[in-house]
Amino acid sequence: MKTRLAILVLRIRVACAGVWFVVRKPASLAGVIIGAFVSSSFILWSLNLDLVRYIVFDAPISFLDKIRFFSETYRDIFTTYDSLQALGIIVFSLLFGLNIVLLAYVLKHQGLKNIPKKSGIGGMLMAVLAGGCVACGTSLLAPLLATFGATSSAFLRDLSVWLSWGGSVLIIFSIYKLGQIAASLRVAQEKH
Amino acid sequence: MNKLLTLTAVCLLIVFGWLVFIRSDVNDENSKSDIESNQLEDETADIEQNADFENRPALIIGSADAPVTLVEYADFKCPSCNQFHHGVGAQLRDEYIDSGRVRIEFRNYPFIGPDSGRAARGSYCAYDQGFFPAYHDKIYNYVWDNYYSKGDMAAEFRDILTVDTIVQIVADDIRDMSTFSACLEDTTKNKFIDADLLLGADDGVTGTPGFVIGGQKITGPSNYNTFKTLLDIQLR
Repeated sequence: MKTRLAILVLRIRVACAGVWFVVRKPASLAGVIIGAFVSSSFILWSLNLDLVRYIVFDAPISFLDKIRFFSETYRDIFTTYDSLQALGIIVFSLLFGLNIVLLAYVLKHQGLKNIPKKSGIGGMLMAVLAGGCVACGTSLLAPLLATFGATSSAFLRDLSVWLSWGGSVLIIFSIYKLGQIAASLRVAQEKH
Repeated sequence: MNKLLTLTAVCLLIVFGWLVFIRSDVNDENSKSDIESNQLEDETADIEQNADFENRPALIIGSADAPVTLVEYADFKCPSCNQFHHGVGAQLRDEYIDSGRVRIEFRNYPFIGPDSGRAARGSYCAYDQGFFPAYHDKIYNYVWDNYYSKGDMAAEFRDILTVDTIVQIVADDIRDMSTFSACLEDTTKNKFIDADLLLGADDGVTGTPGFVIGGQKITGPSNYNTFKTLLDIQLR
């Protein structure tokens, strides 16, 4: 039991080292921020796309007011949503951005060859997760989150919180797998 | 690496752009077809048959002469509507409603439980006796203060707005108690609520709270600046 735990801790440390190796570069960090921004924008505005289009193209307001219109949404996120919902959106978006950057890095260096070739639904699911495609799944989840988050039902509001945190857990697993791959790529690069 | 990240960022922005500027058209088409197919359902047909647009009074909060109207679709029992009323709604009342620049036209969108419908009927009963704005505020305050602000979200599933409760909440404002109580239990006012629901469908309301300002729809919780921007545009 102790050995298993030690191995798990070691794997997590390796994954963290891999993630740090990728993210410490300014360009990667910018990628994380952009990914988080796009993801959170999608969650926050998916119910009001017509309004977004109106503000961007048709609204008779200055460019600065347009910037302020969107930026204040982020500033007011904790007053517009309840604390747990708001925190869920922020955490989910940051992890989404991180996952995208790691996925881009791994795909660039290894393509899809690192995806485990297992049979059965479990193996396929693992392959999808290991390949970082949680991001694809969570992008499908995002409108659901937004829809539920905006709806009036308390049950659905609670569900949205669970969905956002559940999505975050899935992304963390994907980051963990991608981090391990990135760490092995780092070792390979250093050998060369 | 830099090129790849730039490419990723561009792809993400393109996807977001596509979602904003193309997908919404598709959504519009889908929602139109959904509405059309739903109209075939008996329930909707009943609502259409029952709805009384001609005699439906406008439930106004603020000055009737205000140059700009903010249409609000809400359910008195919905937590988000309550949150709006006590947050952004309060700010809007301070800045725009009380100064007579904007009025709120409240339209009922009850769907949570039977008491949602009862509270919605009550809004028209209160209108008959001349105290709709007070009714609106007091019902929201009651639900918020006694349930949602305390974290009792399960109140959503209980019959918390009974006839007796509603009467007690607005007892000070009621002119004719027996008429008001009878009005709450009677379904006569449902024709106005049906009209509200159909107006909501026309406005593309898919959830509560839903708002329309100068033809622009706002769905779900939004911050003060979103309303301020749209209201200021209309006030120019």
